[in-house]
Amino acid sequence: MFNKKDVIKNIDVAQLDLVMVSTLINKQFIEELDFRIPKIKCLLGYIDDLKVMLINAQAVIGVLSEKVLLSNDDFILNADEEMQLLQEFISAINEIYPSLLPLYQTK
Amino acid sequence: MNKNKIEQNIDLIENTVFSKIQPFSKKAASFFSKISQSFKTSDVGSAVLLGGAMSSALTGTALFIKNGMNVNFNGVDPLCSDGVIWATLATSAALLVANVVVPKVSAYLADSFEKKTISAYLDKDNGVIAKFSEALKMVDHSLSLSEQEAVIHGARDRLQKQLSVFENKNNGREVDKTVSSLLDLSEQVVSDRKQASRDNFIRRFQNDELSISR
Repeated sequence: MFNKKDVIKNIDVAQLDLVMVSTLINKQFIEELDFRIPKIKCLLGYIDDLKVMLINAQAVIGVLSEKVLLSNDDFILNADEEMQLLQEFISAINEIYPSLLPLYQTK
Repeated sequence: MNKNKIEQNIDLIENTVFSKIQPFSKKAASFFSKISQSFKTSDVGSAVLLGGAMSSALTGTALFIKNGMNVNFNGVDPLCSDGVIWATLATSAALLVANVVVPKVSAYLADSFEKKTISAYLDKDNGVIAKFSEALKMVDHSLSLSEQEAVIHGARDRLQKQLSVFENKNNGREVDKTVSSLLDLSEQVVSDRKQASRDNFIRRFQNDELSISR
């Protein structure tokens, strides 16, 4: 059982993280990235994995948002899985973002 | 940025992808298939959850179609009721994600929600099917991607107009407010103000530890 306020706060943080990363990966790569180098080419595959995570996380946020909406109390029952997934999502984003940031043209 | 530093960053990225990102998507897929399962026992609540996930995923999916732009595919008739709009949005989201514009992205999510679940959802309301098949005709697979985008953008604009009418009337059901708040949220995606507000949020958040009471 979760306090509704905490659930909403978690959704907010996850949604903002999602927007932050989506915005970043829609930008252009820095010019120094030479995709002829195999190792650098791998980056594209990792970004694909990241995109899959963003889609899944967005769907989890959708489910959780509906639960918040359907609940008339201050508490949300049966949201353990979604809350756990969002925590893991936030943690993954926080871990990957600092490494991704310098690879994109952010100016 | 020098080459070593770039490779270092890619190593770190690879690490997170294997340790966190791929496992997350696996867990999420099993979570969605659980929702699909409970839908089969015709639990009305899970139908709503399915719709929520679909429309939310659509909003997110669109981020990859067009730079930061949200796309909502919808053939909503201006006269139809708020409930139908919600259902149409959810089902068109499902089918959009499943077939129409983004087959590449679709594979990930449509596999999680079984096709049977999606068709069961459609079967619940004939009106929705009729609306949706009309809408599907609008997006022809033979159209070029940019033409499809144009159709979808037109449909999205109509949907948004429709939602704002409901808001003005102030008698929309709660679910419609969610749809509309999702749309609002994705509109903000394109604005830089969002980034600024995020920075503020993080600053505040760091001082205010996230506590989850069970």
